[in-house]
Amino acid sequence: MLDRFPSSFPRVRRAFGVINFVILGLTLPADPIRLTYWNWAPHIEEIVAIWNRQNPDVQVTVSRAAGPLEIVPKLLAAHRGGNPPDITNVIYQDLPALVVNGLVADITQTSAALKAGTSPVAWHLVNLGGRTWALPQGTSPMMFYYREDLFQQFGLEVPRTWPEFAAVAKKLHRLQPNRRLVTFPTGEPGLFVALTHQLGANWWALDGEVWKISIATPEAKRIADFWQDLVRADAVATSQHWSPEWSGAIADGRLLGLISAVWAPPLLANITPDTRGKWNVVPLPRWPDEAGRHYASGVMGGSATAVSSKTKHPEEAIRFIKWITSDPEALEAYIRLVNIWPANLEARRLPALAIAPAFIPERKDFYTLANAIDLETPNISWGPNVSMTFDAFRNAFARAVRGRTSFYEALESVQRSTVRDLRIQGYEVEEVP
Amino acid sequence: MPQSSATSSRKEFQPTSRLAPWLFVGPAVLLFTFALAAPFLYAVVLSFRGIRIRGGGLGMREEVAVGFKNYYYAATNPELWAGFGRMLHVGVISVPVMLTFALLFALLLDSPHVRFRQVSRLAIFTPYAVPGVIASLMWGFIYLPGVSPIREAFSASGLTPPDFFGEHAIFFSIANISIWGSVGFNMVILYTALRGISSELYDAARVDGCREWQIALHVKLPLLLPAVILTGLFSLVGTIQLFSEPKTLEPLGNAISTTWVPVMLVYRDAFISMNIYMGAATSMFVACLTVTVTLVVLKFMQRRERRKLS
Repeated sequence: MLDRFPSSFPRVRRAFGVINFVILGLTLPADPIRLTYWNWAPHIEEIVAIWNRQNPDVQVTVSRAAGPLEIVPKLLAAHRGGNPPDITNVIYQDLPALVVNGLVADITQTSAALKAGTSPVAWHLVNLGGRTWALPQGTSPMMFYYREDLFQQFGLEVPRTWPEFAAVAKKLHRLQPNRRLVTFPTGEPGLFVALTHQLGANWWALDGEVWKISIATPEAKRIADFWQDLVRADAVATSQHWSPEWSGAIADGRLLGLISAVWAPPLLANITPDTRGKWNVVPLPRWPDEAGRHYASGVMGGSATAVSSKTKHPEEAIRFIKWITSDPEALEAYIRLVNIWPANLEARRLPALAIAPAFIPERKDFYTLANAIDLETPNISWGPNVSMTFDAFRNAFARAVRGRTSFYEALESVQRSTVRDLRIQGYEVEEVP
Repeated sequence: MPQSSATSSRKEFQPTSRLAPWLFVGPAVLLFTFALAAPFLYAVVLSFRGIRIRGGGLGMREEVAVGFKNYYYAATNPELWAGFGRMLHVGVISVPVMLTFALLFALLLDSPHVRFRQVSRLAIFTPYAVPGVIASLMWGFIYLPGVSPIREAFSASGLTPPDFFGEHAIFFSIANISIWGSVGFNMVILYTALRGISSELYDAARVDGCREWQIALHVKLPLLLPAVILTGLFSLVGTIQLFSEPKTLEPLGNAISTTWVPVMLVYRDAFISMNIYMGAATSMFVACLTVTVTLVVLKFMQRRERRKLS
């Protein structure tokens, strides 16, 4: 598949050259429209090459100007400098910041027809204030990955509820003082937020002109108390996901599990290739609520593709983002090369998603599982200052983990910082418990 | 004839002589203007502006003048003052230790009996050539539980391994990185100053019966004081600008917040909270402190010089 591009690409170009020459005769061939596209994913050029081959009149150039963490400030700077990209990839949680800064185009008119074929969770994430601002690329159903061999060795049951999860964590710590079930990573606020989504929490909601902020809520308090209990009992680690300390513990079995999303297997394979086949995966544990709303998963990451409000070629740019988010050939390449879980429902039936991930070869129903989890994820929305909130979370929970405050006090301070920041900027804010 | 030729040559020479000073000063003036003065003025302008929302909800953002509001918010942010406190804590550890080691190494290298002078000097200087971020990453690995060889050695010998990210230990861990990186540089400055001291003074001291350590203490050290003060000043300013060490260690654990020292707070405001205006205002506090410290130390030195003259 890959080695086909280089040989056919010049041939197509040559063919077009000949056609231009023959048909147009005296007129010069028109210059193609050139679009720039910011994306940080590896191999993205190979996907865009398919488009460029099929659309000689609209040539897209990939730029790795910014990684996912710095894309908002860099896009802001590019817009101020009058040189923004025509198209950009964006993580869902950053989209509202791009919208309120006027960086992305309203594409409500041209994209309404795509709603039916898109995962409802993802469609909700790209709509704000009743308008559509981007097209969803992928979503990230959450799962619990665990070392099946070590679970068997220590006689641990795979937890189906969070109380069972806590019991397993404590039992493991009792049996094996050097091992932990998972870590509580203060550096990954998105994980905590997603765990509160499972109980129906929604931290930001735009209600007409007012932003409703619900961070220190009873639902979130339940999650905070749950993890505080595990951290204080030393039943979970407090290392940061993907740090050297954490990777080392994952590789040598001092950590037995990982709460993450559908995209974790290739990353785990990078860290600990030797344990291939020793891992298994199940949906996240559930809250055994009788009455309360609860869901299979929360929203943790995932990205969309947006058109710049300043592009000179909005029609072509929209054609491109429709192609890269819903064309089967584009998504086949995207899935194969970048390992996304597509938001496009049709693409979930692609043959590439009918097999088990290479790292967990036993799990043939991995993507069926992902689809089921995704359809049972609540609709949530992000706010215009998520990066600020995540930063406040990181600092407040690092203090809480060190025993300086309770976890719920940390949440309250995150809410205070978020509300203060929004009010300073001039938003109308209402705190909803 | 000779007279006329002299005047003509003077005439030819004059335009160059008027241009020459500008040519010498030019690069420095240009660099100062575009790399320091212009960005500084731009930061001052930014610090009086801010983003405000027009219309509620998804309403568009606008850049407007906000007067001293950013300064008010920056000054009332307890994290700024806590950050200065932590910075001071690191500085109180790192500056004296660093200066002591730099001085010690310089005096040792300068003593006539030392062997492997070239190699030792290079070995002590090398850490300075390692970029701060790389050094911090390396020390991060040495500190971090699970990968730390020091902790492993402690565990292997049955001792409790030290927690480099502990509530108090973290200040020493950060100070250690900056000491390791800057001892060599300051040693070279002090060593060069030592080489500039006339050897006749040493000969005189030896004739008077001084031992080498007495020469070091009573002859070299007093003459070295201006250089020591200079390196101390550089280190103080370096402490105020402390950034890459804590910033690199921040994601590794729970000990360091993203607003741990003032410059990290500036970075957080400008590039994470996306409020470059607040970042500019906070950075003015840092700049003020830097200038004040520099002036105070220089004043102190001048007064000392004057007292010596009188």
